[in-house]
Amino acid sequence: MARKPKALAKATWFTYFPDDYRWSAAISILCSLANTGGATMGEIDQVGRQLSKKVGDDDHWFREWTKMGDHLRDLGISAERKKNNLSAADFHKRACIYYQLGERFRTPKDKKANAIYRKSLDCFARFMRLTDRARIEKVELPFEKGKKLPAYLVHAQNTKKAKPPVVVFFDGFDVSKEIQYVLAAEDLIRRGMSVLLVDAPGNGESIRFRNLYLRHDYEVAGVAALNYLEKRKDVNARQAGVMAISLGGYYAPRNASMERRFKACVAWGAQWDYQKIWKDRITAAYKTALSVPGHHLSWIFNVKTMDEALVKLEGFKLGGVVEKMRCPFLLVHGEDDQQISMKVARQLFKAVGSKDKSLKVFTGKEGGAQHCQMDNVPLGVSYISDWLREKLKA
Amino acid sequence: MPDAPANNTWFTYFPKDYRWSAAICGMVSGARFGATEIGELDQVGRRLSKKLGDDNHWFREWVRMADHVRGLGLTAERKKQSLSACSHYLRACNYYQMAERFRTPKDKLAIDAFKKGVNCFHRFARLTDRPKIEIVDVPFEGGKKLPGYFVHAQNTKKVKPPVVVFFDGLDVTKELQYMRGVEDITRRGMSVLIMDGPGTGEAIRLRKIYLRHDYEAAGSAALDYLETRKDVNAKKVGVMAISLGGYYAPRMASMDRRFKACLAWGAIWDYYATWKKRIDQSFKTELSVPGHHIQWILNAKTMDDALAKLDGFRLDGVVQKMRCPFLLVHGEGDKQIPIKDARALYNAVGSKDKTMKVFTVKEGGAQHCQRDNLSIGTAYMFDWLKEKLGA
Repeated sequence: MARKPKALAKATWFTYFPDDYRWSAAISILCSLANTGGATMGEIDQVGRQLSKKVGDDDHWFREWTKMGDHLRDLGISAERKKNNLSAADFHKRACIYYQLGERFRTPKDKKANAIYRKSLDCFARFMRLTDRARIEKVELPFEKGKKLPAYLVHAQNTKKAKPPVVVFFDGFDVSKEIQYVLAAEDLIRRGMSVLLVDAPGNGESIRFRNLYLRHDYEVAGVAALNYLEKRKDVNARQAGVMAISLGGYYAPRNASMERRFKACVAWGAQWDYQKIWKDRITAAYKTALSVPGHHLSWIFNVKTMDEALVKLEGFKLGGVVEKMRCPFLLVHGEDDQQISMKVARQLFKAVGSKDKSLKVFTGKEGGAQHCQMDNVPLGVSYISDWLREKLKA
Repeated sequence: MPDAPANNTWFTYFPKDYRWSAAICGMVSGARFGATEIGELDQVGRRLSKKLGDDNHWFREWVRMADHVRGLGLTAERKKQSLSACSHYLRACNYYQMAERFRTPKDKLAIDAFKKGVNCFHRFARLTDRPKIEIVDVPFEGGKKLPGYFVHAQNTKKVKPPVVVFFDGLDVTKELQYMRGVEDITRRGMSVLIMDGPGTGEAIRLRKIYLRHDYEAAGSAALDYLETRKDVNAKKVGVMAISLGGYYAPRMASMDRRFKACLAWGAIWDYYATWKKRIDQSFKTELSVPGHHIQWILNAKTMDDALAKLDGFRLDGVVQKMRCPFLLVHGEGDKQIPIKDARALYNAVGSKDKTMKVFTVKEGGAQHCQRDNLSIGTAYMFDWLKEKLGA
């Protein structure tokens, strides 16, 4: 169904669709992923030209990205057959990202959406098997009631430590462990840290295939991750940091405040009172800068109405929680973030109880001023990875 | 004023300007190899839009961004954040060299920017965790030396892995070549000797080694040098070159049988005819750099002199002698060199094992030297090299 594009993007960053914030934001993320091989401009632009014909039509978005995903997947399979493993790994990685970005705006998640998502996971599994760039293990973290959280453990490089420090990296509102991998994992491991990428409740595989819905007591996921890491002999669970992106600006501080085993905390983008954020969005009838369609929220909460969703959001407040935090804390925010204001960042930063805390604000001038540095991801990732390396003594 | 408009089947940041759009497109494709970042590119792009076609403006704005990114590198280096520093330096190098690209004649400002770019690359080479890069000088004629980088193979247990010699084009440099995917060659178990041949990069700017038609002089110098190294298999050496390199590489492989594989990244057939046509059109055609560039690198006073020197730049009668496996890669939508030239070259090559890969608009990589989709081109070429050199 066609939608009228909303929320004009301010033209201070690369906006492929100047009249559509949500689509431009997704394209901007894809462009930034080019540096880590998650996408490439030629392919983005090929799809972009098709998309321009029906700006705002999310069905069209899904079809065109799926088509490009299929194309890359075919290239990957054909390269695999010829034993051109590195080419195949590259193609499968891009296919995975195109499928997931394609599926991103399709809501409610129907059979078609889930089929594409499964294909993306298969592409990532192939990438993992074929790449020379990182040793990646698919792991399952024991969770509540016999359930498990799907995750990847990506092994540290450039280190002689038998038990290197480890960073637990949770998603956001609409992220996945595969996207997280492409965003930052290789930069972190090159700095001598292992990384555990987790699809926690409300995200990625967890919400799509395991009925693990979003919840405010997110430390349950952090505890599961730490308990799992403590059993492994190849990481130092006493030097574990936690980071998360976007809505993860709620997850990571909540985790580090409730679970003292975390030794460093990075909020990649701020959160403060998430209920208020959504109240404002609903009041504005979603005619505001959103990363995914508004309906996404009721889906990941497993509720029927927005009123019910708002009730669930009651617990998503960091006031009274982050005052308990003691570990080193880094908050990274974009000066021009159109989804979450600077005011929110200042509130969070002020309240955090840790003595060692930093607020890094990326400005329009230096770049990275948009939501989670989506206009210049590598700049943000460098800063975060260097900080974690220092705090976790990697 | 722009020379020629950009057509509209690829990412054209400046639809009215082919040359500028081509440069931006090539840069953005290099993101995969750390050459650029869309945010930085777009910041500069917005400022460039205000004076489309003004090459002074282009120079100033890119130098400004390069200085900024170099500053990030220096700060990170001071804090011992080596990996951040090296990624900043690599981008700074690209921005300096792309700034300098359209400034002609090369004045002091141009040469200073170029040198800064080289310095940034050297810092990158020193700080990066991969691959291992050596700055080398390859003995050439008359006591002169050709500057190069020796980039070591990865993912191999061979003490003497195969090696690819990678020459430039009309307006390329060994630093820019590095950012066209060299690391992906080394990941496939081959070392790479990246060269500034006569007429390009440092060789023309700082050593006054001008462009010449008998390019095998440079190829043989590279081979002689490789034979002195104990860490390469000098019997498994391939040669590749990009753009005008579609002349260099076939010429070298045809004249020196020690090369065991030859890759022309973009075709050239009769380069005299190519420039004759450009001059007749007063350069109002698709060019990668301003027309004056050719005069400078040939050390010619007039365009007529330049044309006289281009007389030797013809592959007919030469490539018939080639015997090693040959790959020609060309873009179906190449606006600088027509597919006709690609067919002429391919047909004439004497090698039994020869392949012509034409990238179509549909699959991507259809523009000159796959600048619209670099990764799709590099994957194909490097897999071919790996197979032919037995890496």
